[in-house]
Amino acid sequence: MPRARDKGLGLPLATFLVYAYLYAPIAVLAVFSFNRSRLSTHWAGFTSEWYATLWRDEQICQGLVNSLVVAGVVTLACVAFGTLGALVFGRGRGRGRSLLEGLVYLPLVIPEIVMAVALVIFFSLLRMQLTLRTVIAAHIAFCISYAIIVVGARLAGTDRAIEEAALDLGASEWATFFRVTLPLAAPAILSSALLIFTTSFDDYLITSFVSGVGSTTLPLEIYSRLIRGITPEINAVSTAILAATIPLVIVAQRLERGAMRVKTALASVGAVLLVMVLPMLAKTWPAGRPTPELNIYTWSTYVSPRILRGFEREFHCKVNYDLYDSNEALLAKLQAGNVGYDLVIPSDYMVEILLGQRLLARLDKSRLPNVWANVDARFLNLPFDPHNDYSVPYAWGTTGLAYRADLVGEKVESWSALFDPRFAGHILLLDDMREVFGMALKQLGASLNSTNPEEIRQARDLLLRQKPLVKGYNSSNFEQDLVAGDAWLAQAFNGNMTFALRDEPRLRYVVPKEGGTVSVDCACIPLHAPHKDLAMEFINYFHRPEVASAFINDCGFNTPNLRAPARVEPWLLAEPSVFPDPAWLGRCEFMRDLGPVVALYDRYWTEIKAR
Amino acid sequence: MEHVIQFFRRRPVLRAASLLAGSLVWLVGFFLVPLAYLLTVSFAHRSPYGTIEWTFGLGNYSRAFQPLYLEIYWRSFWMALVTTSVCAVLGYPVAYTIALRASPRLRSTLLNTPSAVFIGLVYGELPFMILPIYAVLQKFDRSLLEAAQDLGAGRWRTFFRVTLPLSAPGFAAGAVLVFISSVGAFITPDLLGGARTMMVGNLIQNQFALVRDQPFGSAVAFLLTAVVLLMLLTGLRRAQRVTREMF
Repeated sequence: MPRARDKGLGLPLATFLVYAYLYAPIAVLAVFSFNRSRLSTHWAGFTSEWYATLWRDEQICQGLVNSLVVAGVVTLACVAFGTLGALVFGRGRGRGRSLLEGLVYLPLVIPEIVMAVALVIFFSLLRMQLTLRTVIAAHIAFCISYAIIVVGARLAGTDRAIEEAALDLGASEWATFFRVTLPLAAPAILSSALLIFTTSFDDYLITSFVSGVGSTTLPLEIYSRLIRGITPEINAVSTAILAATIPLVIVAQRLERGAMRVKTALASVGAVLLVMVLPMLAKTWPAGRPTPELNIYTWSTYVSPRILRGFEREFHCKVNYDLYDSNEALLAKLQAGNVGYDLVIPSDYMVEILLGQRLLARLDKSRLPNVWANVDARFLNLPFDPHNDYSVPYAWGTTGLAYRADLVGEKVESWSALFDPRFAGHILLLDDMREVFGMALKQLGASLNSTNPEEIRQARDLLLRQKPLVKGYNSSNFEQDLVAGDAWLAQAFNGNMTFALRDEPRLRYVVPKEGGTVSVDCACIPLHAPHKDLAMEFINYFHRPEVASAFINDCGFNTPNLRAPARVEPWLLAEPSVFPDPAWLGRCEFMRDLGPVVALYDRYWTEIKAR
Repeated sequence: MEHVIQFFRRRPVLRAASLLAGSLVWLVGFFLVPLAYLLTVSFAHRSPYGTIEWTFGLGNYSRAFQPLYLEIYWRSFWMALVTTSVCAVLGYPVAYTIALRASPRLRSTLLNTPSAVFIGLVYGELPFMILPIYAVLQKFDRSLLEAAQDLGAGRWRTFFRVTLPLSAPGFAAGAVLVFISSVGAFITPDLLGGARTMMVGNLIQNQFALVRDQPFGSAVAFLLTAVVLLMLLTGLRRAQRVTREMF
């Protein structure tokens, strides 16, 4: 009777809607992974091409293998330690109990970001190199509680009398554990294993703090691509993982209902994992003797796959790379301790800072003949490293203003357009402290290297007043927003604009009349780099004319290599973002290390971002 | 082997300790100790170049209470609260339907721990609200509903006076779980907010990854932890109990 009466609350409908809300985006994602068009907005016919692309994509395959290794090791360790712990936790009583309970629950309730920062400063205190090992250690720390709690709850719910009966009947304690206790706990062990596997496999936040070079997991790889825009490959990899998850979920459900024996369940989970892991391992397993590795940490816009592949082939090594979008992110990573990078590409002022902190290794100049033969002398012996003992120019560029002539409706030649209320909500700034302050200081008529607290304060006030007009802070893919027409004006790194300018004729790039930044990004070797020789070879290789020109052709940034332009595609020579008007350079300034006053910038930057 | 077992049988404390050893190494070595170090750093200072200067003081904490930062906490708190409320409104009908209305067969297809993990893998917070409410409602005594209706209460009255109050512990547990994980979030604001809206998660992350003021970042992180723990200890202890039943 009551069942009949409470019908009609619309509950089934509401439940259906919530489930639709949860699952519809996943369905869309799966469908669009078969979409022929690269843009994820409209359907252009069926293709399985993206899955093939995925298979060839070494970064994604390596990320997947890393994730599976981490999740696998973490699951085994947590289940082993956790089950033993659960024997005490699930059944123990006594004084230590509530203390232990607190310790076990704390990792589950503490905000993940707190755990992440605690671990990263701890690892840096111990000078531990950030590798897959640190990722695994961190994951075990936040997953082990699941095993202790889940298995503990199951053991607490089982009847001790069964085990006592076994002991009374003459079974040894050892046999009782393996023949009675473990089978009783098995469903909970397996269920906690699945929970831990998915939690570890999925983790982004903590991993992003404690991973170093070569330990990029799949979520990290996906995220680093996502901030540059959604691609069909991302849809495809997500769908593939989804497909692999479904059998696991079915197994777990049948296990829970008691419709499947633990052994069968284990066998099927094992089979699914093998099917997933084996081809990946076969693909990424280093062939023959271990090849030397070169770990590069570079700007997200400086990657040219054919340059890296060419180097790998010629020097019989493997090149790994990680990406950053600001000099400060690079500094933070190098300061965090032993990260294992062999080659980094900081800008001029950052070279000065890194030198001040003794984070760079001295270069062996005799091994860099291409540099001395081909690099424009104007870019050598600059004040931040007067004899190029620690740094070699790699690329150079300007920071200026990019805008959509059609949407703005007038010619823009001044930074003041970025402060114009008519363009409110369509203005993008770089997510880069020094560049944003530099722009504001230029607008005020000051130097972008101002160390005068009063001027810096005025720049802050200007930026605070401007904040309501700003759509966002973006250093990685602002050109896409300009092409799409969501943003009309953007503070821009020159090279990001190059291909956008070619594809969208209504886009413009200028260095405003107040002046902008000119920067030289330099190849440097961190002090504790494990593969200094290979890094030196890479710098020398990069300055071969054909490689330097490939960099311009692929990345849209210029290099100081004098012999590169001869081989550059003709349209690039006419592109002001690559080969700027000499008059522009006259109004540009190099950034310098500002010394202690940078703390003031840092603080004001936090204030501006915080509003 | 029997000797070992005999040895431990006579020393229960040692037995417990050795069984717990693996877990304790991690929970202490990679959790408590780093947390203690974080606390220590939060009293230190930042050198101009962003390294840690070991001079101790309360400067970071007094800075953390400046109006600017209070605004960020307030924003994070507010957003987490809204997220929690939306999850509660969306999650309740689902938990209710699964626990009280669905046939057992349908129930096991819609929800059990692993499939909830599956949803969670993709969708973050909502399952953390649904699961605890479900755990509470599952144990709910249906005869209470019948009693209320026999005593003349209407359908809505029964719901508001009986079912809903009895779901309160589930709500509390769900709210704590959702609130904690959303208050420290920083990826979503970065990805969807154009790096324009700062939340406390971003504030902490920036101090470590960009501005390199680790002592100040540690202080904010510790304050966040303190608030969360305080929330848990004051009257939300039952959240823990429900969470335990959830698994």
